Amino acid sequence: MVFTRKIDDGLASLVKKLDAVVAENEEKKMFAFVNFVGEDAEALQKAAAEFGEKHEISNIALVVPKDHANGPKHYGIAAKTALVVALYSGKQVKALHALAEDQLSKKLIAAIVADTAKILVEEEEPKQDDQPDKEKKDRKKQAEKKEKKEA
Amino acid sequence: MRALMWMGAALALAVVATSCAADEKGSGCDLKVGDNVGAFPVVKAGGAEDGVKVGETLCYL
Repeated sequence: MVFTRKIDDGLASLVKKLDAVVAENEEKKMFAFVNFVGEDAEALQKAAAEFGEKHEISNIALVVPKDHANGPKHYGIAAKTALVVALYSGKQVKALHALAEDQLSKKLIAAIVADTAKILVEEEEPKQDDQPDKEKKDRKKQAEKKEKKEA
Repeated sequence: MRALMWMGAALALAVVATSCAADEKGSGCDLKVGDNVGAFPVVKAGGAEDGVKVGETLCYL
């Protein structure tokens, strides 16, 4: 879930990357939406629609919240906050990035995209190979004891 | 020499801590990691073809 006050190349770069991640994880029911916030709801609707068409966003919903000035009140997004990215799973926030204007860099975009892994990990079942193997541990201990004795 | 190296390491840690704080807290948002996200109404403007028409009001959460 993204909240943005500004439409620029940085936002386009981030949303395009997230769009690709959502497409790759369609089977895991990954989902995302971008909230365009600001004073004029009609202008935001138009700008969001144009943004979607220009950048061919096909997997992420582009919306304008009813509380369009600053987003939902219970999220407490300050007027100086230009971009918020909240990555959640089971409605619980797993990673959060709240940025002031012009803070979004290539490095931060990469960090945000990398953080998407945090909301996917929980859905994967643990592999059997990852389970602790008592026999292996015992054998290792015995080998260590033997080595100590020989030394 | 050793004291200088430790001071350098401490400064590097302080810089990392400051930049993390600016990213998540300093810019102003009440949401925090571990919080539950609450639902809110939005109007669809474009993007994903998910069966929701442009102009329709709904909660995406």
